[in-house]
Amino acid sequence: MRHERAARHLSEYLDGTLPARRARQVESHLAACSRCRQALGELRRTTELLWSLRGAEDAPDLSAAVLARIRAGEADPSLAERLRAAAARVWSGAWGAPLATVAVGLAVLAILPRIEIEVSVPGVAAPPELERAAPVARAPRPAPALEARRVRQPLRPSVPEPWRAPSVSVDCWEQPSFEACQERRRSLELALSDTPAFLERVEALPSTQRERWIGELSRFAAETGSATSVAERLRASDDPRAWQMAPRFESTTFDGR
Amino acid sequence: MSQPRVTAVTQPLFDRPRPLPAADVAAEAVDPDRDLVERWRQGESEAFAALVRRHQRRVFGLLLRMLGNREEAEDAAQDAFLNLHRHGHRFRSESRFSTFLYRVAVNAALNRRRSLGRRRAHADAFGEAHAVGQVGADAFTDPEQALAGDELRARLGRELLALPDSLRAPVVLYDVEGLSYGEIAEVLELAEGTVKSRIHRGRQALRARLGDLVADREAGS
Repeated sequence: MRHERAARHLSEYLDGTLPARRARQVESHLAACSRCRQALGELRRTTELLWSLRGAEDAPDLSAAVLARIRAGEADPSLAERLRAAAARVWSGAWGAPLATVAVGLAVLAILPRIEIEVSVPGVAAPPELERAAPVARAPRPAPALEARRVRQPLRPSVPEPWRAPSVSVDCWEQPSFEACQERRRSLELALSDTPAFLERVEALPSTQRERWIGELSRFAAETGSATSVAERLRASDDPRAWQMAPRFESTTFDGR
Repeated sequence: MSQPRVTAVTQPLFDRPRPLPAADVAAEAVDPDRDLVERWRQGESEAFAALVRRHQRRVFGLLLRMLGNREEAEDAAQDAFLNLHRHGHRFRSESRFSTFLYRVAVNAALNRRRSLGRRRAHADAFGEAHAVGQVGADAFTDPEQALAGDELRARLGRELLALPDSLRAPVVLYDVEGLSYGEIAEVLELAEGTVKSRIHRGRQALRARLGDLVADREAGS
């Protein structure tokens, strides 16, 4: 067995979960490879240390606090869940629950356009010119009955904060490709902080790749909740190329369409 | 001659309780929480409290490893049990109750980390490590001596916390909590092969971070 392959199987060998034939192959490699023997010993020691953590901490008694919170209604199902349960009771049978979910989803979609929601990207303080810029494609004005449900910035300071370099909130370790995530995050931060530099970055791409790159970036922006801010920033630019790009960020939804 | 001997061997077997049908045996053997879960579903709040008391230590331990801070772990554990109560109807008896609970707990930890932000979680863990004792590498020059101490646990906790969530969760679930690959795949909703690979990568990263604590010079010679 080759070294790389044997090294990949060391944890499973240590755990005794390799099939017998594969385990014998690893063993014969171990007999000849001091690096793998050392790695195996150190992995064993690592697992022994981890096992020593088991039950090492005194846990607080949570039952009283949890029951008190349940009695206070904190574990009650949400409105959507109650609606879904009620609808499922109406449509009993194998398709009841999925149908109920679809029905509740449609009801929420019907209500959503009537609610105006303000979204901000963490770390981005809106420059004054953005507040003056005319909003693009605004949702219809909320109905009077729903006016009170408008979500506002809860902690908006009365004194304007100094402008800070924007950051896009995303944990790239959680993404399928760390490097691609980092690259997209930097590109979005550039779009939010320095539109001309962002446009130069786009122009530098080969024309055959540009469309795809912008598409991927706009989906990433939608996933990280920064698409609206990027679109507004592009709209606020005095460069027509930025205006043309803005709709790409406005029209991309979270699920990538 | 042989007749009494056969009787002597077989008789006690007939005195044992008759085995249940295979499916029931599996469910009985697999899930020790089944009775409590049934009673809870029938509206007995004391059964739910008993489930909390039975599992709180493991849930709290898991969340402490995931979050690195006792207060956050306690809050997240309460959230996990509240979510369990809220979404308990989604639990299907074909899997173990504890596996379902672990999934709820891991989600509570990930939600909490998202809301706290990675930086704050690291800062808290560092603060806790300092509160427990010295955390410098030279405090662990004698691994055997350190093994019994709070310092070692603080160091291990700190190094675990430095791993990305995607590696830390499988390592904690396997090497600390003792779940199987299959159970972890169910908890994290990943393929079993991915779980194996992440456990190996997580251990390798931890091994590198622990350095002298796990060095095995004899094996390499």
